[in-house]
Amino acid sequence: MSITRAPEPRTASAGMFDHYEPVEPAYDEAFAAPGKPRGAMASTIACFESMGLADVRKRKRLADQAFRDLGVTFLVHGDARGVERTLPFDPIPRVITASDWALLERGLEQRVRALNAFLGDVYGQQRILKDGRVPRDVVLGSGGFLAAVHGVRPRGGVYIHVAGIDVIRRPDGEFAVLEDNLRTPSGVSYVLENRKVMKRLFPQALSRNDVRPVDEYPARLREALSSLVPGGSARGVVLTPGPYNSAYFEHCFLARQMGCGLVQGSDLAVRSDGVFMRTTHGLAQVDVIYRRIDDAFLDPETFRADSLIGVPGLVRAYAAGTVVVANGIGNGVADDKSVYPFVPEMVRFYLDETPLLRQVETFRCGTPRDRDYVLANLASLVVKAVGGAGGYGMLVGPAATRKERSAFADRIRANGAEYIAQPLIELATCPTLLPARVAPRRVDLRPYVVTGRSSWVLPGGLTRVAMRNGSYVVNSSQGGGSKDTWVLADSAA
Amino acid sequence: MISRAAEHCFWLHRYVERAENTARLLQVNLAFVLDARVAEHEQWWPVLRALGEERQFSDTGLPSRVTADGVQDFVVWDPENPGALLNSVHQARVNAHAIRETISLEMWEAVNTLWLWLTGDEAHRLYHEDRYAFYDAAKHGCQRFQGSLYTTVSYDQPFDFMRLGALVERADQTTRMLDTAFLRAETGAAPDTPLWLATLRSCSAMESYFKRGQVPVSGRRVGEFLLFDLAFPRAVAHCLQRSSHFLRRIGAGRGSAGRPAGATTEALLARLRATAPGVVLDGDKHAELEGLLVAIGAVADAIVSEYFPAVPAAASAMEALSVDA
Repeated sequence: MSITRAPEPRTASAGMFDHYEPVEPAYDEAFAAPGKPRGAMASTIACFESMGLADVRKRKRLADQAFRDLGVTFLVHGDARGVERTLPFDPIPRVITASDWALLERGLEQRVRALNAFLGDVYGQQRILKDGRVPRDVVLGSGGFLAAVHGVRPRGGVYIHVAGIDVIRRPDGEFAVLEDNLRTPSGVSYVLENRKVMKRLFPQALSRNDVRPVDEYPARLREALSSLVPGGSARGVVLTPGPYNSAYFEHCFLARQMGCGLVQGSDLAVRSDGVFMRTTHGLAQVDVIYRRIDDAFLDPETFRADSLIGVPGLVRAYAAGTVVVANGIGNGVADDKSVYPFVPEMVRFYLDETPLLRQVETFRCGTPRDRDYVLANLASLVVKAVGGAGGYGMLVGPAATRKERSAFADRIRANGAEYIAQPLIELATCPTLLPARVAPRRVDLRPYVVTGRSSWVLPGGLTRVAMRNGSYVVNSSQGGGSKDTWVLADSAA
Repeated sequence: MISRAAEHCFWLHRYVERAENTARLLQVNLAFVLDARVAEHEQWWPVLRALGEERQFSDTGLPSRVTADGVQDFVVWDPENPGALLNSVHQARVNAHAIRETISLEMWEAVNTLWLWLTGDEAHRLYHEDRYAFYDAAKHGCQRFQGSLYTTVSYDQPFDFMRLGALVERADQTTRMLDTAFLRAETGAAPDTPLWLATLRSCSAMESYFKRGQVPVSGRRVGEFLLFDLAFPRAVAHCLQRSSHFLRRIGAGRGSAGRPAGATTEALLARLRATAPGVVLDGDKHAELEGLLVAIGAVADAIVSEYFPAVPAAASAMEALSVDA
C-alpha cells in the first residue's frame, strides 16, 4: 500500500512583500509605493522573496542563536543585577545608495569639524560667546561644560575622536541630524557583528549587491588614535567601567579587534603626570586611552570623588599632554541638547561654510517664548530632558495620555531649562520581519565618524528599529532592535 | 600583562578544570557503585570528600540526602554549594567575561555555550534521562575550552597564567582523590581492585597507568603513579614541574630572587622528588597527603600574592556581577 500526498503549496514564497504597505507620509527605505521597490533595494527584495518567509524566519532564528552563542549582549538595568540581552535583530537590510551616502558623509564630516572647532573655542578663547553667536548661559550653564579642562588643549587639537551622529530620514527623503553623540557613543560593535551574521546566514543577498565593507573600523580607530602620538608606536588601552556596564561587550570587542588591553580604572595609576598600567611585571606607560567611562566618573581627584571606576590624576596627565584621552574630556557641552540648535551657526562661524545637513527644529524651554509655544502645543511635540539619553525621560506628545502630558507640562513650568522640544518627525520606515509577515517599522541611523589627523566615516552605521508598531523610540534600552545597513559602492554604472 | 587580567586567566582555567574533574568523578562513581555493594551512603560520601564539599553538604542540614541523587544534585546544581559544577562553570564564565579581549573568541564561545547549555532545558533533560551522557557532555564542553586554549592564543603570559590555574587545581584534586581512596580502602567499604581502577579512571589515568605495566593494581602502585609520575598530566609531580616551567617563563628576566612563587613551587617539587614513595604511602598516608595539600595551597597563595596584588575595586565588581537570575 502506498500513500501519496500532494506537495504542499509553497505559500511562503508567494510574496513576502505582497501585502507590504508603506506608512504615509513617512519615507520608506525599500518601497517607493506598494509593490514598487526602490531601485537600490530591488535585488535584495527579490532575493528574500525567492527564499520565502519560512526560510527567512529559520535563518533569523539561527542568527539569534549565533548572537547568543557569541555573547553579543548588552546589560539592561532596572534591577540590581541587570539582565543580559541580545539586541533584537532584523534580517532585512537597509540599503543606502552611493549618492545618498556621499551627501551624508560630506555633511557628517563637516559637522564634526565644526563641533570640534567649537570645543577648542569653548575650552580656549570663547570667541563664539564673545561674538554672541551662542548664548553664554547656554554653554557655561551646560552640565557638560567642565571648567576643570578650560585652557587644556588635547593632542592634535582633537576632541571628537569618535562621533556617533544620529540621523533620521525625513518624508522627502533627505537626511537630517537628530542628535550628536560626542562623548562615548556606543553601538559600533553591533554594526560589525550584524554584518558578520548576515554574511553567514544571507550570503546570497549580500553577493547580489556591491556592499561596502565595515570590518576595518577597529583598525581605523587604532590608526586615528595612534596618529596623535608622536613617534607612532603607541601603547593603547580601552578603559571600561567593567563587566556590569551595559556596553561591556562592545568594550571587549573593540579592545580585542584593536589589539589593545582592556583595563578598568584600578588597573591604571598616574605617576608624575604619566599614566601607567599595573602589569605582572610592574608599571608600564600608556599613550592612548580610549575610555568608555563618562567624564563625571573619570577622575575622582577632579570630578565625582565617590567614583570607584576612575583613575585618580587622569585629568592632570591629560592636561600635561602625556596621554591621548579619547574622546576628549568635556565634550558633553557640544552634544548638549540645548546647544544642538546652534550647530549650524558653528558651521558658519568656524568654517565659513553652508551647513550641508539639515537638523530638526528645536524649542528651548528655558526661553519664555519657546516655553509658551511648547506648553501650548505639547500634543504635537516630542519633549526631551536635556540631560537624558537612551530614550529615558522623554515625552512623545502625540502618543501620550492627557495625564502624562499635564504631568510633563508641570515639569517644564518648574524647570524649563532642563527641557527641549521638537516636532514629531515622521521617521522613515523599513520592512521588518514579524512572526507572520513583513511590515514597516520606524528606523533611524547612527553613522560613526572617526577622527585623528583626518576624519573617516564608517560606510554604514547602526540602523536602529522601533520593533513595536507605531513606535518612534528606537533605543535598545526601550526594546528597539537593529538591522544591517548596506552602503552600496559607487558602481559607476 | 595587566595583573587583574592575569588573575582572571588563572581563575578561569582553574574553574574549568574543576568543572571537568567534577563531571569525571561523578561519572566514574556512577559506574563504580554498581561494583561496590555497600550502603548508598558509603557509595556517595567519598565523592563529597574528594571534592572537599563535605562540610557544605552537612551545612545543608540534610544528612539523609547522602543518596545517589542527593549528592549528585548537590554537587552538580546546588546554588548554595560554591564548588558545584554549575557554580564552577558560572565562575569560569564570569572570569572569561571579564577578560573577553584577552582570550580568543573561540575560547569565549566555548565557555559561553557551556554555560548556556548547562542553564538551558537540554542539560536538565539529559541529566534526568541519561546521567552518563550528561557528564560526558559537560566534560566535552570543558575540553572544547582546553582545545581552543592550545590552538587559538599565543603561548604568552595569558596562556601561562591559565595553565597555572589548571595545574594547581589538578594537583589539589589528584591529592584529594588519592586521600579519599585510601580512606575508602581502609574502611573496607569497597572492593580493592575496582576501587583503584575507579580512582585511576577518576583521574583519566587508567591507560597511562597500564602502559607503565604496573600490575597487579594496588593502592601503593596507584598512589606512586599519581603522586610521582613526571609524564602523566594529572600526576602531582608533573603538575608541579609544569607549574614551575610556566612560572619561570612568566618571570623571565626578573632573576630568581624576584620570583617567590617560582621558588616555592621548585622547592616543593624538589622535596617531593627527594621523598621515597614508601615514606608517603606506607606510613601515615593521610597526614602526608594533608601536608601535601597544604603545600599546594601555599603555591597557589604565592602565585596570588606575587602576581595579583589585591585590587579591591575589581574584587567587589566581581562579586556584584551575577548571572544566576
